[in-house]
Amino acid sequence: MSGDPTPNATHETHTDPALSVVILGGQALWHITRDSVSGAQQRPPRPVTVPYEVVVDDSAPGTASAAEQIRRGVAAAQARTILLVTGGAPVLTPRVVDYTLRAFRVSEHAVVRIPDYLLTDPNSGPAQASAALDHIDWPHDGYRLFHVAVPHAAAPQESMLRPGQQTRCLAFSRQDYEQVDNQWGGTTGQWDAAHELGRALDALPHTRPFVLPGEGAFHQIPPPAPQSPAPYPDTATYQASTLLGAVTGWAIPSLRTDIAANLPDPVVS
Amino acid sequence: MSGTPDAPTLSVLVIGYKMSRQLRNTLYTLSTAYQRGVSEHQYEVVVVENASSDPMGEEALEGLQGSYQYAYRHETGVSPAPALNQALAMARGEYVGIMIDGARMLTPGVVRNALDVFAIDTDAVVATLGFHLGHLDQQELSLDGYGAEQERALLAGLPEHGNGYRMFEIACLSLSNPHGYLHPMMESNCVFARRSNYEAVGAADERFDQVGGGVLNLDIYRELVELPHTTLYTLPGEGSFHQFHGGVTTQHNADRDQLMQEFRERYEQVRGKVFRSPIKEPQWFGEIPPSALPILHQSATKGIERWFQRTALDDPVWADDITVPREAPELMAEFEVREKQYLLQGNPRPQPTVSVNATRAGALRSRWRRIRRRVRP
Repeated sequence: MSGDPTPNATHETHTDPALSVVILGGQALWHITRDSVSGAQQRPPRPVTVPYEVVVDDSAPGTASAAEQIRRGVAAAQARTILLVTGGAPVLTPRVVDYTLRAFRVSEHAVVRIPDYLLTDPNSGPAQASAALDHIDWPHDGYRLFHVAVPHAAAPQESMLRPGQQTRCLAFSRQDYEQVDNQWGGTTGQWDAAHELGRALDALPHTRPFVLPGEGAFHQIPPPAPQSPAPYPDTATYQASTLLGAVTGWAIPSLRTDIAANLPDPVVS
Repeated sequence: MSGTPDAPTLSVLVIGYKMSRQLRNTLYTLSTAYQRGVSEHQYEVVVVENASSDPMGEEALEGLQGSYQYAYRHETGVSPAPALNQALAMARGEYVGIMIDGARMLTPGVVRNALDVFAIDTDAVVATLGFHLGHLDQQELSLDGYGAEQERALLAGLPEHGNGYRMFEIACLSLSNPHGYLHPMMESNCVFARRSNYEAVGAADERFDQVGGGVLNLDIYRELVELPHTTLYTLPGEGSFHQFHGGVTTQHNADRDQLMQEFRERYEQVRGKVFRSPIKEPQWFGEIPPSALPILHQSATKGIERWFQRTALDDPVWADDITVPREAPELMAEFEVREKQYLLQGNPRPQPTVSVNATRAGALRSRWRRIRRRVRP
């Protein structure tokens, strides 16, 4: 799972890309993440026909704060739409790029969240994640990642069916990002920083939240416990997320568990 | 008439016959006072009412907010097909919504979500799932004396009058799609498509001239979904809710089996094939209101069952999975035959569990593989 050393903010450039995927690695696992975005993974069942670029920042841990890394990555990106992939070098399912682009066709102010999963439990390490990946031949069918994943137990209150789900993988427009530039970045970890950014974007009156229920970001590095603020308040001002995408195969049990977490007890039998 | 100046983007075609109260309710749920996030410039409602002893009349549209067209039709036949085609001729939108049964009330996000999907994909087919008001399918309820009066009381008892999502709490999935959103759907009672795609499949085929149109609605849905270039989207947070009105297939009828057989035979005469649900993978779109969560839960449970069953047979879950190109209809037909044989042999469906983690799912999958080996060595 090691890769060649890569300078910070590496570009895989297209002219005038529709989307910039900004990957903040921090460790040598990012190249697998990059492969999950830029390789054959993003093709079925309909090819992504618009050009998109992948920008990787693999700064060594501790050389920059999470917020600085995010800002640097976004600054290096060319597109007006950013898909931010942070913390734990997640591997993505095959239609994340496609559905993200579709969400922005509905609203140029979309905020798209990809649900988080873990490839290892918090007591294990990257070696276990590597073994899990080897076991499922994920480049052939990325949805098999659901087969070996566990839900993100660090934040049990989070759910794709509640507003503002905490995730380390979200997409937004550069225009909206610039509007909230000074309203986030007080926390330390990438996960928390991404969550803060997501909340700030949600607070803009014109943004529209989306979630991709059949897709996932599968983390190879067990995350530290989140230091984030309390769960999103259930106030009258929240906007429910728009679900977008197909939910097939191994993703269905994850969805069902998620729904069950939101149902009153008598309904779950 | 589509493409005319000031034409709305979408025309919703609604057919009514002998259902004045129900049609009035349906049209209210299509008004801009009820539908959220859309304006009358974006869509119109085209109503064609076939003559009957219980007509609604054009005057019922007065006071409804939105853009409406109305025609009263002196229909001599018993099928809604000609009325549907008349409505299409009146429609001005580039996209059409088809509601062959005017007794279907809608949830408040149907129109906005359909328009949003067309922003993603102009060749989308947008389908809602059909429900029956009442705790059981109305065919069964009518055996116990359920009727329009009971239904009126049911609707009146809903809290938050005007919040149409609360209808999920007093309704059940209709028997035509009992498994929800993650199974192939047999029909949609409120389906949207680009007008050119609807015309490409022949619109409402008037050879379906039986009472209620027979399986006309199922035929339209299948033909639209099976066009090679269309993508199927479903709206899991929305729905159409059938009001009791003594319809042909939605009430108890001693001759129902005979009637259904005649409908099937007509389909085979018209299309030259046996009817089955189209099996294109659905894309979801939309928000999930709390009242719809149990239906989503039920759909996920049934979806897991289907997925185990198909993968245990080494069959693709959807016909357009990459291993089965949609240019191979003979393979798709073969899969359907094998699935039916498998179930006819008495094989059980796996029991759903509340929390299916990867280990549990793996065990269930292994179990199905063992069953599969026993059945087909």
